[in-house]
Amino acid sequence: MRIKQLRSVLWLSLLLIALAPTLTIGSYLLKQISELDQQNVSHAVYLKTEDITRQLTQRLQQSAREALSLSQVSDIQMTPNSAIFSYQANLLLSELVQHNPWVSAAYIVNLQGQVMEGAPLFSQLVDLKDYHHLLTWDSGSNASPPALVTEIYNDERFHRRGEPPRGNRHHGLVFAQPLLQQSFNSASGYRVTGAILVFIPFAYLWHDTGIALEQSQRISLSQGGNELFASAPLSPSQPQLKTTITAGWLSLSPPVDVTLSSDTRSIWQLLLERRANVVLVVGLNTALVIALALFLTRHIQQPLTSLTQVVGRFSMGDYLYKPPPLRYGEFEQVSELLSSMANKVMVDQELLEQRVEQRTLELQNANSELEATLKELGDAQQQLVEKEKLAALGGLVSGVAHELNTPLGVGISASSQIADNASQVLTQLEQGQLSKHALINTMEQNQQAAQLMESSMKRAAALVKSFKAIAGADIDSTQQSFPLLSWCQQRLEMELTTRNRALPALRFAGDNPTIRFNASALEQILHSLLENSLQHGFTDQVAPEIAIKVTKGTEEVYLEYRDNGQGVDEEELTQIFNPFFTTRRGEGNIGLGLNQVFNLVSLHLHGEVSAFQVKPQGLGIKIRLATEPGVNEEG
Amino acid sequence: MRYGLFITLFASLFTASSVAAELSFFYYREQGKQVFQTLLEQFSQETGHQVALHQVLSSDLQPALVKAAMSGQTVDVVFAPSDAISIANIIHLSAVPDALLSEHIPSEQLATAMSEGVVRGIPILQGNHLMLFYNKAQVSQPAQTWQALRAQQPALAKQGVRTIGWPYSDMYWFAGFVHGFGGRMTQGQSLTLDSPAMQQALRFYRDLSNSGLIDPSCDYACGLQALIDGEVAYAINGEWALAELQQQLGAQLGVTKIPAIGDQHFVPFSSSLVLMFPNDSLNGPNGEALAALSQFFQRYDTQLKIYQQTRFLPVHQQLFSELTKQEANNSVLQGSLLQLADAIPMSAESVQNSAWTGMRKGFELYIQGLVDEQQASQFMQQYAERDHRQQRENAP
Repeated sequence: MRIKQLRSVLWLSLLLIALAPTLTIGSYLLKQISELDQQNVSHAVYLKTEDITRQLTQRLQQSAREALSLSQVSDIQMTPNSAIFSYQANLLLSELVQHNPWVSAAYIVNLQGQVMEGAPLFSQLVDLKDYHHLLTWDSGSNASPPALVTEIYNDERFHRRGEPPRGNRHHGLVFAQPLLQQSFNSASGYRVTGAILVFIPFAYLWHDTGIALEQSQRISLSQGGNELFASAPLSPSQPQLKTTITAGWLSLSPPVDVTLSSDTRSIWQLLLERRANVVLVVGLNTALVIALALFLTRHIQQPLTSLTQVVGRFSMGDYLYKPPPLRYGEFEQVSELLSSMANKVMVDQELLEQRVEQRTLELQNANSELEATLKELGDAQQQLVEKEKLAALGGLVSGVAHELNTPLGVGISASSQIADNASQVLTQLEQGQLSKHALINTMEQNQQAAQLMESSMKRAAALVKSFKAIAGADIDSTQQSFPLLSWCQQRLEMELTTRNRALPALRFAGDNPTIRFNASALEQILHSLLENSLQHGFTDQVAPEIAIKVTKGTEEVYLEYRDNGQGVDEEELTQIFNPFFTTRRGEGNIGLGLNQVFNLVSLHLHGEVSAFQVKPQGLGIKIRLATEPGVNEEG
Repeated sequence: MRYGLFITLFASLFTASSVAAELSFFYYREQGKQVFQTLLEQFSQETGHQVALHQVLSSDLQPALVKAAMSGQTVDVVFAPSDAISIANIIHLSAVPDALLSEHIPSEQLATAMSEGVVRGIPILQGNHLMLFYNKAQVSQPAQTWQALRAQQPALAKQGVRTIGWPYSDMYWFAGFVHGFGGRMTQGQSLTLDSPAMQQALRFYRDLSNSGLIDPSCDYACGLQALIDGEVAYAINGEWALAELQQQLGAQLGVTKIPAIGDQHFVPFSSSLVLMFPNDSLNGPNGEALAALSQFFQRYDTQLKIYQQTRFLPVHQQLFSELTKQEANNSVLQGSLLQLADAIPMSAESVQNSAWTGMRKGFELYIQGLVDEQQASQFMQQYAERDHRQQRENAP
């Protein structure tokens, strides 16, 4: 991809570098060509003006010659006097008009200017009284023939019928060729009978030359600065070349100027006119430049590609790869440097491998040591656990033994007393020394001993029952859904109603999530905690208070129980959940309440319980209840 | 070149004669030249006078005569239609004395040779009128009206035959339509071109071409050669063409009256063919010979020969009567005579010449669509009046 980008940039750069001088030189040459072209155009315009003037003059002279020739035909000469000749005269006039397509109309008129014949046909409808002034010759006999009379006219009537007007001006040239009749009354001399009038609109005269003008060119005829005809409207906005030639047409005075205007050509027009050549040159040049750019790009790109391959092989770990020879020294140096780097990498890699091997060996040794140490630690831990278990079991056994020892000892003592008393009575009886008083006294002692033994046995039975309750084996395992805070409030308030002593104030706070839990277990827990607060915490508290707070976590619910009792020492916090741990053993407490709480939370609520000190005083118990979806929490 | 030859010709003709005169004779018709040449040879044998016959096209006749007159050179005698007498003042025609006029010339024929009350020509032949020729192979029942002719057009077109032909732009033909609508070109010395009849005729005439009945570019060949070649079923041509058509078509040739315009008969011009004497030649050195020649052509036998060989109608009243009786079963001749009965004689007054030119000018403008019929008839009138005025003013 990068190579491609580099190639594009390189290619474009080369292209631009090659084209820039081409364009600069090209534009300079174009300017030179344009100037030369301007000169050529000026010359061409002059030649064309000459050609146009010559052709226009030739046509006018041709018409004048033919009119002169017609004027010598007797049918024409006699037509002003009699229509007898009009048929032939009309044929001859029509021939003149056909031979001279630039002639709009040709007439034979008498000296009063009346039309005797006209061609083409429509011209006979034109009243020529406005042209009577052309017939200035003396009708009498003349020694020498009178001359042709020529004039510029402006008359739209001389557009041919049925033909669209050619141009918006109606100027033209009219000449009157006198018709002479030889006078029979004298040996020499002429009599003017009329004239041939020939009307030549300049538009027709120009059109019938058939000379094609370029789009930018414009031919105009003017007399004394007055424009008579123009082949196209004037466009003053563009610079123009003008060539004017004065034409001495038929002795017309003042003469008519023929002017050819041509727009100067811009470089672009020049290019357009020579577009075939321009396209060829530009195409060839561009193709050459593109080919050169491609060649150079390829020439430079090839070692780069090879270099890339070298780097690629090295990057893939093929450090033994031998780079091919590259075209340029710079690339060759880079290639050699890369080879050196590859060698260095290989050496370093080898060293590294050796070091790794060494380190691995060291690690293996350390690992072996660690494994041994770990095994020792495991063993020690196992031993410690076993010791702890044995210690706990010992504590439990000694606790149970300690608790059962007293009632059992009392029972044994009472039973021994009864046995002793029975033996003594029996002896006295056998000896006959038994008195009633003594018997009664002995029986009373036995009764008391029996009573003592019974109460001790009951005490022992109660103890055994309480031992069984520690594990919660008799707790119902049914799961129920309740709003936790509301449920706790209801339970504690009900619990307190059964008590007679001074009751603590209850405070409830926090969330109230509805969760699914073992209500029997939690009920027992709250009972144990309340009992613990009443028996151990509030002994000296005049304003006992219990606070319950429920906090809902993402996957669990925390239930905090706090009292403002006397609390426990820091070191005792880790022991209060142990069985038979009590600070009031001598006062009838056996230290199984919080142990029961621990067991119920662990076994029936699948949670965790911890104790903490409440500032400024009191004990706090924090119970974490798992609320796995679908297990403990609802809604 | 042409005029140089013309002057040379006149120079050779204009020679003095005392006893055996050498006469120059202008013959204008394209037909019958050989017959007249033979007759002139006969005349020469009889009288010793030599006569040179020169044929001139009808369109060139009057200009040639005028130019000759204006150049002081002329011919001795001209055989031409009587309307050529209209330039009598220009070419100085001799007044024909009664002594030279045969008693067998009908008065109505003599009237065609009169200008301003003076007889300026000797009628030899009569007729010169148009009639309808048709090919019986293509037409079973000739149309009596233009409407009927149009009705036949589709059927003829199916046969690949054009309906009718005549020289559409020739005023001699158009004049018959003007007459059919009741118009006249002249009345005595007055021009009567600007008339409702002229305008109606123009409209009708143009409609004929617009409807495709006649090709407006038709020339004289449409009325002659096309009929001979079977390209047209009908042709309008003159009495002068009858002999040739009869010779070419034989029994297939039918002759009848030109179709009527509705209930209006087609009225062609007729004229007599006269001997005229320019430059007052009757009173010149060759007067005697010319008188003899006049008598020769008025003779019964001469006119009979002319009829027999050309089918030109003689003016000799007796001969004409005999011929009409003898040829009672000749349908061609009867058809021609039937049409002649409807014809009106052409004026020989000077105004007639201007009328022809004026009518042609207005007609051309109208047919080209440059003017309407009203403007056309006005133009005809104005042009002819001006020309007539000018001719009189410029008469040599």
